[in-house]
Amino acid sequence: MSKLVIKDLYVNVDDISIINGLNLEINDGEVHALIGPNGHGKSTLLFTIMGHPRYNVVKGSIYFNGQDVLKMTVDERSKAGMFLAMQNPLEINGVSTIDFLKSALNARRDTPISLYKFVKEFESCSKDVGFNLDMSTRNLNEGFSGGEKKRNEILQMKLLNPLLSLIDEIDSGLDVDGLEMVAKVINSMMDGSFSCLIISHYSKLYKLIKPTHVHIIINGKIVTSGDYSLIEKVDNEGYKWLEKEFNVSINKQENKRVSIGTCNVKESVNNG
Amino acid sequence: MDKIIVSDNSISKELTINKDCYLLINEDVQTKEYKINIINCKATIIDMSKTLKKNLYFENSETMVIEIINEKESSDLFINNVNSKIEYNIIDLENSNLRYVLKEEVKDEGSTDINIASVGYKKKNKEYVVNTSNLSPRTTNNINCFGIVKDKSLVKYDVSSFIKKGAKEAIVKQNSNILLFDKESCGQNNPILLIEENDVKANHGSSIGKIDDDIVFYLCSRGLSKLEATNLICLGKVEYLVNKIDDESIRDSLINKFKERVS
Ligand SMILES: Nc1ncnc2c1ncn2[C@@H]1O[C@H](COP(=O)(O)OP(=O)(O)OP(=O)(O)O)[C@@H](O)[C@H]1O
Ligand SMILES: [Mg+2]
Repeated sequence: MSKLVIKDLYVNVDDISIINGLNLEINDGEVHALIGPNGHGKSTLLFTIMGHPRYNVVKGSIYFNGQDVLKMTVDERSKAGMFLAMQNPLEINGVSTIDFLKSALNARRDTPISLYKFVKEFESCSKDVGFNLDMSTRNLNEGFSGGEKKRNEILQMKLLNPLLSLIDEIDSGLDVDGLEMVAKVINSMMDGSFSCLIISHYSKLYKLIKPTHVHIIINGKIVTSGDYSLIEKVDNEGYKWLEKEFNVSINKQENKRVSIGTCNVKESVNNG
Repeated sequence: MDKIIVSDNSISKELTINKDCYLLINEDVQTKEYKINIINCKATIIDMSKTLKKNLYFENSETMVIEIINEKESSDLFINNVNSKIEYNIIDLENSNLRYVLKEEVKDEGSTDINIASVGYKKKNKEYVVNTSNLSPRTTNNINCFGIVKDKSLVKYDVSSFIKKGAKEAIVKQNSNILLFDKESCGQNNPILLIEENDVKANHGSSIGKIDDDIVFYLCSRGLSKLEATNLICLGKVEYLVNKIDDESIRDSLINKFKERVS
């Protein structure tokens, strides 16, 4: 039985606070939808759970199956059964898709997977997610179309078979068939031990997956949670009604960031 | 295609190749200097020797050379390209200081690609001085340098390209990327373009820095350790040169050597 427990979480990015006292609990077999206006900390939460070094946890705790996630490295979190499907999957020069997938599978095994078994598994998963096999020798995500990148994320999820999937706007860039494929893959994973946290701005994906829980995040805090009807309400009315009801301001974003004017010097090289 | 394997010092004087061939210069070749002329043919040369000074003359030919740096502290190479298509690749995984001077001249409508991949580790200095000259119209020089530096080492690329007056429509591209593994290590790119002609295309790009956090994170989020992730990224950069080698056993031994180097 897998379980994610987040308590009183505060997260800074470059000294700006993005997550402000967030609580969340996800149990095995549950599908949680995380919705909220642009820039209010949805992706930040997922990156933090997965352990991106730029997201600095200043307070609070995250536990997964009783393990203190904040003490774990990114790869340990992955091996513990967590998976992040990113909003913007990166292009990685010099690393072929198939080599990478093999390394990722082997990283969680004691003995390397046999080539035969790997190819079989890869081919069957590729077929399920509609990932063109010809692309497997190309560099990871390099020159992939928006939808192809998203399919590749789902392919990785299927291959790695996580206990908890954090899925960030998988529907942006996917065509209609792609969306149905994602829903099918996720629904089929629900048969086993699996739970997920899904971010989307559109009700279409949620209609297909039917979340058991829905949370609305404003200014880095979950202001209200409910069932599927919350998605319908937001779909019809937007987020404005929350301001009165919960005494929050959706546009105070601007005031929050006082330190503009810093020049973003990119010290690291991307891929040459 | 002829296969010529040189495994003693018979190459020492001068070798002229004028029919298509595959030339393998073995690692036990210890000669100080050699000259190879490649004329009116296609050739592949794999050079694993300890030769310090090399003189290559190409005329109306198409050649790929892969030089694998082997236990030496200096290397001197002169490439003379007359109407030929040449790709010169240098793979340097050696645990020694190295100063490598490469001079190149291209004439008629020749084109030269120079690719260098160098790993500096265990407090070693790797210094590459590359001088290219486009001496006639429509000649091309394409120089790509890649470095990985760790353990207080240095990788330095001084790349200077000259385009002579009258070399209209000449093309020069310089690119140097150096990845630093730790704060004590150092990378230097010193690109110079000397251009006497107006009607040319010349550019250079360079970067020095640590591997992008976002990329490492992406790979780690799939279960690769930080070390495995950085290895995979670096391997990719070197592998594209190594994969040009036909011989699987040479390829494998280089990849294994590389993995040892960066881990
Ligand atoms: N790496 C970063 N550097 C600087 N600011 C960041 C970084 N990551 C997030 N932020 C800021 O934190 C805030 C929350 O961003 P986040 O990406 O979590 O929003 P989101 O809710 O996912 O929005 P969207 O719906 O547009 O995807 C934004 O104001 C964003 O600019
Ligand atoms: Mg987002």
